Amino acid sequence: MLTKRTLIRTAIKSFFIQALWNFEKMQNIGMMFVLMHPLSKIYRGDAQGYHNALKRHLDFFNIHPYMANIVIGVVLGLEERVSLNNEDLEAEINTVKSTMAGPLSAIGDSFFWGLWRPVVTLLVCLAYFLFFNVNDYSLAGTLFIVFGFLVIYNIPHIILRFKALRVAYRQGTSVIVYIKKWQDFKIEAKLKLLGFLLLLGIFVIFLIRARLTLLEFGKLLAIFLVVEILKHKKASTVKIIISVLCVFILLAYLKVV
Amino acid sequence: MITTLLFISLLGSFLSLDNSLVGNIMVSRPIVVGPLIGLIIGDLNLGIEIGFLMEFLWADLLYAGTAIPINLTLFTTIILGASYILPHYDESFTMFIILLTIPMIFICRQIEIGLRLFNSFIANKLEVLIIRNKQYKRVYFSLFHGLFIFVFVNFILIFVCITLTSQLAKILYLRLDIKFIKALSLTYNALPIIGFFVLLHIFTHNFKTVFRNLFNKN
Repeated sequence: MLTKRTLIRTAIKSFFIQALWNFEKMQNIGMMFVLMHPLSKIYRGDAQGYHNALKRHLDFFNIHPYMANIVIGVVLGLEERVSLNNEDLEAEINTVKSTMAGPLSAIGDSFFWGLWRPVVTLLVCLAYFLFFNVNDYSLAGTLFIVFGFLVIYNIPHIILRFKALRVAYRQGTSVIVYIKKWQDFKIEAKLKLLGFLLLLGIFVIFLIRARLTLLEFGKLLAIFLVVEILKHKKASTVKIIISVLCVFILLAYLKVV
Repeated sequence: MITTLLFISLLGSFLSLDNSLVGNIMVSRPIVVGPLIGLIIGDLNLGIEIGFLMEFLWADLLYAGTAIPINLTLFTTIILGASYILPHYDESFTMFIILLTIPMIFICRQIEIGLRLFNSFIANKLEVLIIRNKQYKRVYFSLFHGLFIFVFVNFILIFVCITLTSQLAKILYLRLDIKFIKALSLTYNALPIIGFFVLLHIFTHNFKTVFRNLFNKN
Protein backbone atom coordinates (compact mmCIF):
# COMPACT_ATOMS: atom_id res chain seq x y z
CA MET A 1 0.00 0.00 0.00
CA LEU A 2 1.42 3.38 -1.00
CA THR A 3 1.66 5.97 1.73
CA LYS A 4 0.06 9.41 1.62
CA ARG A 5 3.53 10.91 1.34
CA THR A 6 4.36 8.85 -1.75
CA LEU A 7 1.08 9.86 -3.37
CA ILE A 8 1.72 13.55 -2.65
CA ARG A 9 5.21 13.24 -4.12
CA THR A 10 3.74 11.55 -7.19
CA ALA A 11 1.15 14.31 -7.56
CA ILE A 12 3.90 16.96 -7.37
CA LYS A 13 5.96 15.13 -9.98
CA SER A 14 2.91 14.96 -12.23
CA PHE A 15 3.45 18.68 -12.94
CA PHE A 16 6.35 17.46 -15.12
CA ILE A 17 4.35 14.93 -17.13
CA GLN A 18 4.67 16.97 -20.34
CA ALA A 19 8.35 17.83 -19.84
CA LEU A 20 9.70 15.71 -22.72
CA TRP A 21 6.57 15.83 -24.87
CA ASN A 22 7.36 14.60 -28.37
CA PHE A 23 5.49 13.79 -31.57
CA GLU A 24 6.28 10.05 -31.47
CA LYS A 25 5.17 8.81 -28.06
CA MET A 26 4.08 12.13 -26.55
CA GLN A 27 4.08 11.90 -22.73
CA ASN A 28 5.74 8.48 -22.40
CA ILE A 29 8.91 9.73 -20.70
CA GLY A 30 6.92 12.13 -18.52
CA MET A 31 4.64 9.28 -17.42
CA MET A 32 7.63 7.12 -16.59
CA PHE A 33 9.21 9.98 -14.64
CA VAL A 34 6.04 10.38 -12.55
CA LEU A 35 5.71 6.64 -11.93
CA MET A 36 9.35 5.93 -11.05
CA HIS A 37 9.03 6.74 -7.36
CA PRO A 38 5.73 4.95 -6.56
CA LEU A 39 6.77 1.93 -8.66
CA SER A 40 10.06 1.67 -6.74
CA LYS A 41 7.93 1.42 -3.57
CA ILE A 42 5.52 -1.11 -5.07
CA TYR A 43 8.30 -3.34 -6.46
CA ARG A 44 10.63 -2.99 -3.47
CA GLY A 45 13.11 -5.89 -3.60
CA ASP A 46 11.97 -7.00 -7.06
CA ALA A 47 14.40 -5.38 -9.51
CA GLN A 48 13.11 -7.30 -12.54
CA GLY A 49 9.48 -6.46 -11.70
CA TYR A 50 10.40 -2.76 -11.39
CA HIS A 51 12.27 -2.86 -14.70
CA ASN A 52 9.33 -4.56 -16.47
CA ALA A 53 6.87 -2.07 -15.00
CA LEU A 54 8.92 0.92 -16.19
CA LYS A 55 9.26 -0.66 -19.63
CA ARG A 56 5.46 -0.96 -19.82
CA HIS A 57 5.08 2.77 -19.37
CA LEU A 58 7.49 3.70 -22.15
CA ASP A 59 4.69 3.13 -24.65
CA PHE A 60 2.68 5.89 -26.29
CA PHE A 61 0.65 7.95 -23.85
CA ASN A 62 -1.08 11.29 -24.12
CA ILE A 63 -3.62 12.92 -21.83
CA HIS A 64 -4.68 16.36 -20.64
CA PRO A 65 -2.09 17.13 -17.90
CA TYR A 66 -4.71 17.92 -15.23
CA MET A 67 -6.54 14.63 -15.78
CA ALA A 68 -3.36 12.51 -15.88
CA ASN A 69 -3.49 11.78 -12.15
CA ILE A 70 -6.75 9.87 -12.51
CA VAL A 71 -5.04 7.43 -14.89
CA ILE A 72 -1.88 7.40 -12.75
CA GLY A 73 -3.93 6.45 -9.67
CA VAL A 74 -5.71 3.62 -11.49
CA VAL A 75 -2.42 2.38 -12.97
CA LEU A 76 -0.74 2.35 -9.55
CA GLY A 77 -3.60 0.27 -8.17
CA LEU A 78 -3.22 -2.22 -11.01
CA GLU A 79 0.57 -2.33 -10.64
CA GLU A 80 0.11 -3.13 -6.98
CA ARG A 81 -2.08 -6.10 -7.91
CA VAL A 82 0.59 -7.27 -10.36
CA SER A 83 3.31 -7.05 -7.71
CA LEU A 84 1.25 -8.86 -5.04
CA ASN A 85 -0.37 -11.63 -7.04
CA ASN A 86 1.87 -11.81 -10.07
CA GLU A 87 -1.32 -11.40 -12.08
CA ASP A 88 -0.94 -11.07 -15.80
CA LEU A 89 -2.37 -7.59 -16.06
CA GLU A 90 0.17 -6.09 -18.42
CA ALA A 91 -2.29 -5.89 -21.32
CA GLU A 92 -4.99 -4.54 -19.03
CA ILE A 93 -2.77 -1.74 -17.73
CA ASN A 94 -2.07 -0.47 -21.23
CA THR A 95 -5.72 -0.87 -22.26
CA VAL A 96 -6.87 1.13 -19.21
CA LYS A 97 -4.35 3.85 -20.02
CA SER A 98 -5.40 4.19 -23.64
CA THR A 99 -9.16 3.89 -23.08
CA MET A 100 -9.27 6.40 -20.22
CA ALA A 101 -6.95 8.94 -21.85
CA GLY A 102 -9.28 9.94 -24.70
CA PRO A 103 -12.47 10.83 -22.79
CA LEU A 104 -10.54 12.41 -19.89
CA SER A 105 -8.54 14.58 -22.28
CA ALA A 106 -11.77 15.73 -23.92
CA ILE A 107 -13.18 16.74 -20.51
CA GLY A 108 -9.93 18.51 -19.55
CA ASP A 109 -9.63 20.41 -22.81
CA SER A 110 -13.24 21.55 -22.98
CA PHE A 111 -13.72 22.28 -19.29
CA PHE A 112 -10.41 23.72 -18.04
CA TRP A 113 -8.95 25.32 -21.14
CA GLY A 114 -12.08 25.83 -23.19
CA LEU A 115 -14.34 27.29 -20.49
CA TRP A 116 -12.88 27.65 -17.01
CA ARG A 117 -9.93 29.77 -18.18
CA PRO A 118 -12.01 32.31 -20.17
CA VAL A 119 -14.57 32.50 -17.36
CA VAL A 120 -11.87 33.25 -14.77
CA THR A 121 -10.31 35.83 -17.10
CA LEU A 122 -13.68 37.57 -17.46
CA LEU A 123 -14.31 37.37 -13.73
CA VAL A 124 -10.96 39.04 -12.97
CA CYS A 125 -11.55 41.61 -15.72
CA LEU A 126 -15.02 42.49 -14.41
CA ALA A 127 -13.78 42.74 -10.81
CA TYR A 128 -10.91 44.94 -11.99
CA PHE A 129 -13.32 47.25 -13.85
CA LEU A 130 -15.54 47.49 -10.79
CA PHE A 131 -12.96 47.97 -8.04
CA PHE A 132 -10.04 49.75 -9.71
CA ASN A 133 -9.61 52.95 -11.66
CA VAL A 134 -9.09 51.75 -15.23
CA ASN A 135 -7.49 55.03 -16.32
CA ASP A 136 -4.85 54.89 -13.63
CA TYR A 137 -3.16 51.50 -13.50
CA SER A 138 -1.62 50.81 -10.13
CA LEU A 139 0.61 48.21 -8.55
CA ALA A 140 -2.32 46.99 -6.45
CA GLY A 141 -4.37 46.53 -9.61
CA THR A 142 -1.54 44.62 -11.29
CA LEU A 143 -1.16 42.29 -8.33
CA PHE A 144 -4.93 41.85 -8.20
CA ILE A 145 -5.04 40.76 -11.86
CA VAL A 146 -2.06 38.40 -11.62
CA PHE A 147 -2.85 36.74 -8.29
CA GLY A 148 -6.63 36.91 -8.70
CA PHE A 149 -6.40 35.00 -11.97
CA LEU A 150 -3.81 32.48 -10.75
CA VAL A 151 -5.54 31.72 -7.44
CA ILE A 152 -9.10 31.38 -8.79
CA TYR A 153 -7.99 29.36 -11.81
CA ASN A 154 -5.76 26.97 -9.90
CA ILE A 155 -8.06 26.07 -7.00
CA PRO A 156 -9.99 23.37 -8.92
CA HIS A 157 -6.87 22.43 -10.86
CA ILE A 158 -4.70 21.73 -7.82
CA ILE A 159 -7.55 20.01 -5.93
CA LEU A 160 -8.12 17.77 -8.94
CA ARG A 161 -4.42 16.90 -9.26
CA PHE A 162 -4.03 15.82 -5.63
CA LYS A 163 -7.45 14.40 -4.82
CA ALA A 164 -7.94 12.55 -8.10
CA LEU A 165 -4.74 10.60 -7.60
CA ARG A 166 -5.79 9.43 -4.13
CA VAL A 167 -9.37 8.57 -5.14
CA ALA A 168 -8.33 6.81 -8.35
CA TYR A 169 -5.67 4.81 -6.50
CA ARG A 170 -8.24 3.61 -3.95
CA GLN A 171 -11.22 3.11 -6.27
CA GLY A 172 -9.45 1.74 -9.34
CA THR A 173 -11.40 1.73 -12.59
CA SER A 174 -14.66 2.42 -10.73
CA VAL A 175 -13.47 6.05 -10.54
CA ILE A 176 -15.33 6.35 -13.85
CA VAL A 177 -18.53 6.67 -11.76
CA TYR A 178 -17.28 10.05 -10.51
CA ILE A 179 -16.63 11.17 -14.05
CA LYS A 180 -20.18 10.14 -15.00
CA LYS A 181 -21.46 12.22 -12.08
CA TRP A 182 -19.49 15.17 -13.42
CA GLN A 183 -21.57 15.11 -16.58
CA ASP A 184 -24.79 14.93 -14.53
CA PHE A 185 -23.98 18.25 -12.82
CA LYS A 186 -24.06 19.99 -16.24
CA ILE A 187 -21.10 22.09 -15.12
CA GLU A 188 -20.05 23.00 -18.64
CA ALA A 189 -23.51 24.35 -19.53
CA LYS A 190 -23.57 26.37 -16.31
CA LEU A 191 -20.11 27.78 -17.01
CA LYS A 192 -21.16 28.78 -20.51
CA LEU A 193 -24.13 30.65 -19.05
CA LEU A 194 -21.92 32.30 -16.42
CA GLY A 195 -19.36 33.30 -19.05
CA PHE A 196 -22.06 34.76 -21.25
CA LEU A 197 -23.48 36.79 -18.35
CA LEU A 198 -20.02 38.07 -17.36
CA LEU A 199 -19.35 39.13 -20.93
CA LEU A 200 -22.69 40.90 -21.00
CA GLY A 201 -21.80 42.63 -17.71
CA ILE A 202 -18.48 43.91 -19.10
CA PHE A 203 -20.24 45.14 -22.23
CA VAL A 204 -22.86 47.03 -20.20
CA ILE A 205 -20.15 48.64 -18.01
CA PHE A 206 -18.28 49.66 -21.17
CA LEU A 207 -21.42 51.23 -22.67
CA ILE A 208 -22.19 53.15 -19.47
CA ARG A 209 -18.64 54.43 -18.98
CA ALA A 210 -17.84 55.19 -22.64
CA ARG A 211 -20.92 57.42 -23.12
CA LEU A 212 -20.91 56.89 -26.87
CA THR A 213 -22.51 59.33 -29.27
CA LEU A 214 -24.93 57.97 -31.86
CA LEU A 215 -22.24 58.14 -34.56
CA GLU A 216 -19.71 56.29 -32.39
CA PHE A 217 -22.33 53.68 -31.58
CA GLY A 218 -22.97 53.25 -35.32
CA LYS A 219 -19.23 52.74 -35.92
CA LEU A 220 -19.15 50.19 -33.11
CA LEU A 221 -22.04 48.29 -34.66
CA ALA A 222 -20.30 48.35 -38.06
CA ILE A 223 -17.15 46.81 -36.55
CA PHE A 224 -19.35 44.27 -34.73
CA LEU A 225 -20.91 43.29 -38.02
CA VAL A 226 -17.58 42.87 -39.86
CA VAL A 227 -16.04 40.83 -37.04
CA GLU A 228 -19.18 38.70 -36.63
CA ILE A 229 -19.25 37.84 -40.33
CA LEU A 230 -15.56 36.86 -40.27
CA LYS A 231 -15.92 34.91 -37.04
CA HIS A 232 -18.96 33.12 -38.44
CA LYS A 233 -16.82 32.02 -41.37
CA LYS A 234 -14.38 30.58 -38.80
CA ALA A 235 -11.61 33.02 -39.69
CA SER A 236 -8.61 32.97 -37.32
CA THR A 237 -7.91 35.95 -35.05
CA VAL A 238 -4.90 36.97 -37.16
CA LYS A 239 -7.04 36.96 -40.31
CA ILE A 240 -9.73 39.04 -38.57
CA ILE A 241 -7.16 41.62 -37.39
CA ILE A 242 -5.63 41.91 -40.87
CA SER A 243 -9.11 42.16 -42.46
CA VAL A 244 -10.20 44.88 -40.04
CA LEU A 245 -6.95 46.77 -40.74
CA CYS A 246 -7.55 46.48 -44.50
CA VAL A 247 -11.10 47.84 -44.09
CA PHE A 248 -9.79 50.80 -42.07
CA ILE A 249 -7.01 51.50 -44.59
CA LEU A 250 -9.63 51.54 -47.35
CA LEU A 251 -11.91 53.82 -45.33
CA ALA A 252 -8.99 56.12 -44.43
CA TYR A 253 -8.01 56.54 -48.07
CA LEU A 254 -11.64 57.13 -49.01
CA LYS A 255 -11.67 59.76 -46.26
CA VAL A 256 -14.65 58.13 -44.56
CA VAL A 257 -12.89 57.87 -41.16
CA MET B 1 18.36 48.96 -21.04
CA ILE B 2 20.24 45.84 -22.13
CA THR B 3 20.00 44.36 -18.61
CA THR B 4 16.24 44.90 -18.55
CA LEU B 5 15.95 43.41 -22.02
CA LEU B 6 17.93 40.33 -20.99
CA PHE B 7 15.81 40.01 -17.87
CA ILE B 8 12.58 40.25 -19.89
CA SER B 9 13.87 37.59 -22.30
CA LEU B 10 14.85 35.30 -19.44
CA LEU B 11 11.53 35.78 -17.65
CA GLY B 12 9.56 35.20 -20.86
CA SER B 13 11.51 32.04 -21.68
CA PHE B 14 11.04 30.61 -18.16
CA LEU B 15 7.32 31.47 -18.07
CA SER B 16 6.80 29.88 -21.49
CA LEU B 17 7.81 26.52 -19.94
CA ASP B 18 4.45 26.56 -18.19
CA ASN B 19 2.71 26.85 -21.55
CA SER B 20 3.06 23.23 -22.54
CA LEU B 21 5.89 21.56 -20.65
CA VAL B 22 5.91 22.11 -16.89
CA GLY B 23 3.12 22.87 -14.45
CA ASN B 24 0.39 24.34 -16.62
CA ILE B 25 -0.57 26.60 -13.73
CA MET B 26 -1.13 29.37 -16.29
CA VAL B 27 1.71 31.71 -15.32
CA SER B 28 2.42 31.71 -19.05
CA ARG B 29 -0.90 33.34 -19.95
CA PRO B 30 -0.79 36.92 -21.30
CA ILE B 31 -3.01 38.10 -18.43
CA VAL B 32 -0.12 37.21 -16.07
CA VAL B 33 2.88 37.83 -18.34
CA GLY B 34 1.60 41.25 -19.54
CA PRO B 35 1.25 42.94 -16.13
CA LEU B 36 4.51 41.32 -14.87
CA ILE B 37 6.58 42.60 -17.78
CA GLY B 38 4.72 45.91 -17.62
CA LEU B 39 5.94 46.17 -14.05
CA ILE B 40 9.55 45.50 -15.11
CA ILE B 41 9.58 47.97 -18.00
CA GLY B 42 7.82 50.58 -15.87
CA ASP B 43 4.74 50.80 -18.09
CA LEU B 44 1.86 49.17 -16.23
CA ASN B 45 -0.73 50.69 -18.58
CA LEU B 46 0.71 48.98 -21.62
CA GLY B 47 1.43 45.73 -19.74
CA ILE B 48 -2.13 45.34 -18.50
CA GLU B 49 -3.64 46.51 -21.78
CA ILE B 50 -1.61 44.09 -23.92
CA GLY B 51 -2.13 41.30 -21.35
CA PHE B 52 -5.93 41.58 -21.49
CA LEU B 53 -5.97 42.08 -25.27
CA MET B 54 -3.86 39.02 -26.02
CA GLU B 55 -5.83 36.93 -23.51
CA PHE B 56 -9.16 37.86 -25.08
CA LEU B 57 -8.05 37.74 -28.70
CA TRP B 58 -6.62 34.24 -28.45
CA ALA B 59 -8.89 32.83 -25.74
CA ASP B 60 -9.95 29.98 -28.01
CA LEU B 61 -6.40 28.75 -28.65
CA LEU B 62 -5.85 25.27 -27.14
CA TYR B 63 -2.90 22.90 -26.84
CA ALA B 64 -5.13 19.93 -27.67
CA GLY B 65 -3.71 16.63 -28.94
CA THR B 66 -0.74 17.19 -31.23
CA ALA B 67 -1.61 20.81 -32.00
CA ILE B 68 1.16 23.36 -31.44
CA PRO B 69 -0.51 26.79 -31.55
CA ILE B 70 1.34 30.10 -31.49
CA ASN B 71 3.11 30.82 -28.22
CA LEU B 72 1.23 33.66 -26.52
CA THR B 73 3.90 34.09 -23.83
CA LEU B 74 6.49 34.88 -26.49
CA PHE B 75 4.00 37.05 -28.37
CA THR B 76 3.22 39.21 -25.31
CA THR B 77 6.88 39.41 -24.22
CA ILE B 78 8.10 40.48 -27.67
CA ILE B 79 5.43 43.18 -28.06
CA LEU B 80 6.17 44.64 -24.62
CA GLY B 81 9.95 44.31 -25.04
CA ALA B 82 9.90 46.12 -28.38
CA SER B 83 7.65 48.84 -26.95
CA TYR B 84 10.17 49.27 -24.11
CA ILE B 85 13.15 49.80 -26.42
CA LEU B 86 11.44 52.49 -28.46
CA PRO B 87 9.78 55.60 -27.09
CA HIS B 88 6.10 54.83 -26.85
CA TYR B 89 4.36 57.02 -29.41
CA ASP B 90 0.68 56.09 -29.39
CA GLU B 91 -1.87 53.35 -30.16
CA SER B 92 -0.95 53.20 -33.84
CA PHE B 93 2.67 52.50 -32.94
CA THR B 94 1.70 49.65 -30.58
CA MET B 95 -0.54 48.24 -33.32
CA PHE B 96 2.36 48.45 -35.77
CA ILE B 97 4.56 46.48 -33.35
CA ILE B 98 1.79 43.86 -32.98
CA LEU B 99 1.64 43.55 -36.78
CA LEU B 100 5.41 43.16 -37.07
CA THR B 101 5.41 40.51 -34.32
CA ILE B 102 2.78 38.30 -36.02
CA PRO B 103 5.10 36.78 -38.68
CA MET B 104 7.85 36.34 -36.09
CA ILE B 105 5.56 34.43 -33.79
CA PHE B 106 4.77 31.97 -36.59
CA ILE B 107 8.50 31.43 -37.11
CA CYS B 108 8.82 30.82 -33.35
CA ARG B 109 6.04 28.23 -33.66
CA GLN B 110 8.00 26.36 -36.34
CA ILE B 111 11.07 26.40 -34.10
CA GLU B 112 8.97 25.00 -31.23
CA ILE B 113 7.85 22.16 -33.51
CA GLY B 114 11.54 21.54 -34.23
CA LEU B 115 12.22 21.38 -30.48
CA ARG B 116 9.49 18.75 -30.07
CA LEU B 117 11.15 16.73 -32.84
CA PHE B 118 14.42 17.02 -30.96
CA ASN B 119 12.58 15.77 -27.88
CA SER B 120 11.71 12.62 -29.87
CA PHE B 121 15.42 12.09 -30.45
CA ILE B 122 16.20 12.47 -26.72
CA ALA B 123 13.25 10.22 -25.76
CA ASN B 124 14.31 7.46 -28.16
CA LYS B 125 17.88 7.54 -26.90
CA LEU B 126 16.63 7.42 -23.33
CA GLU B 127 14.39 4.45 -24.05
CA VAL B 128 17.35 2.45 -25.30
CA LEU B 129 19.38 3.36 -22.21
CA ILE B 130 16.56 2.30 -19.90
CA ILE B 131 15.63 -0.95 -21.63
CA ARG B 132 19.17 -2.18 -22.31
CA ASN B 133 21.28 -0.69 -19.53
CA LYS B 134 18.65 0.01 -16.82
CA GLN B 135 19.96 3.57 -16.43
CA TYR B 136 16.83 4.92 -14.74
CA LYS B 137 18.49 8.02 -13.31
CA ARG B 138 19.14 9.24 -16.86
CA VAL B 139 15.43 10.20 -16.95
CA TYR B 140 16.15 13.18 -14.67
CA PHE B 141 19.09 14.29 -16.80
CA SER B 142 17.19 13.95 -20.10
CA LEU B 143 14.11 15.71 -18.75
CA PHE B 144 16.04 18.72 -17.50
CA HIS B 145 18.27 18.69 -20.55
CA GLY B 146 15.14 19.01 -22.74
CA LEU B 147 13.77 21.79 -20.55
CA PHE B 148 17.08 23.67 -20.54
CA ILE B 149 17.27 23.58 -24.35
CA PHE B 150 13.67 24.86 -24.53
CA VAL B 151 14.41 27.78 -22.18
CA PHE B 152 17.68 28.60 -23.93
CA VAL B 153 16.18 28.59 -27.43
CA ASN B 154 13.21 30.70 -26.29
CA PHE B 155 15.55 33.14 -24.55
CA ILE B 156 17.50 33.65 -27.78
CA LEU B 157 14.26 33.87 -29.81
CA ILE B 158 12.72 36.52 -27.57
CA PHE B 159 15.90 38.57 -27.49
CA VAL B 160 16.39 38.43 -31.26
CA CYS B 161 12.71 39.08 -32.03
CA ILE B 162 12.54 42.09 -29.67
CA THR B 163 15.67 43.59 -31.24
CA LEU B 164 14.47 42.88 -34.78
CA THR B 165 10.92 44.16 -34.20
CA SER B 166 12.09 47.36 -32.55
CA GLN B 167 14.62 48.08 -35.29
CA LEU B 168 12.09 47.39 -38.05
CA ALA B 169 9.48 49.53 -36.30
CA LYS B 170 11.99 52.34 -35.89
CA ILE B 171 12.85 52.35 -39.60
CA LEU B 172 9.40 51.72 -41.06
CA TYR B 173 7.01 53.61 -38.77
CA LEU B 174 8.39 57.06 -39.63
CA ARG B 175 7.93 56.33 -43.35
CA LEU B 176 4.27 55.36 -43.00
CA ASP B 177 1.55 57.40 -44.61
CA ILE B 178 -0.61 59.41 -42.18
CA LYS B 179 -3.73 57.60 -43.41
CA PHE B 180 -2.14 54.23 -42.75
CA ILE B 181 -1.24 55.42 -39.25
CA LYS B 182 -4.86 56.48 -38.73
CA ALA B 183 -6.01 53.00 -39.86
CA LEU B 184 -3.54 51.40 -37.42
CA SER B 185 -4.90 53.49 -34.58
CA LEU B 186 -8.49 52.54 -35.41
CA THR B 187 -7.55 48.85 -35.65
CA TYR B 188 -5.94 49.00 -32.21
CA ASN B 189 -9.18 50.42 -30.83
CA ALA B 190 -11.11 47.63 -32.55
CA LEU B 191 -9.01 44.88 -30.91
CA PRO B 192 -11.16 44.69 -27.73
CA ILE B 193 -14.23 44.22 -29.94
CA ILE B 194 -12.55 41.34 -31.79
CA GLY B 195 -11.64 39.86 -28.40
CA PHE B 196 -15.25 40.28 -27.30
CA PHE B 197 -16.40 38.25 -30.30
CA VAL B 198 -13.84 35.50 -29.71
CA LEU B 199 -15.24 35.09 -26.18
CA LEU B 200 -18.83 35.41 -27.36
CA HIS B 201 -18.28 32.54 -29.78
CA ILE B 202 -16.83 30.40 -26.98
CA PHE B 203 -19.88 30.89 -24.77
CA THR B 204 -22.54 30.78 -27.47
CA HIS B 205 -21.22 27.71 -29.28
CA ASN B 206 -24.08 25.17 -29.45
CA PHE B 207 -26.15 27.70 -27.52
CA LYS B 208 -29.54 26.05 -28.06
CA THR B 209 -28.37 22.52 -27.19
CA VAL B 210 -26.51 23.73 -24.09
CA PHE B 211 -29.51 25.61 -22.69
CA ARG B 212 -31.96 22.87 -23.56
CA ASN B 213 -29.75 20.43 -21.61
CA LEU B 214 -29.36 22.87 -18.73
CA PHE B 215 -33.06 23.21 -18.10
CA ASN B 216 -33.95 19.64 -19.00
CA LYS B 217 -34.52 17.84 -15.69
CA ASN B 218 -34.16 14.39 -17.23
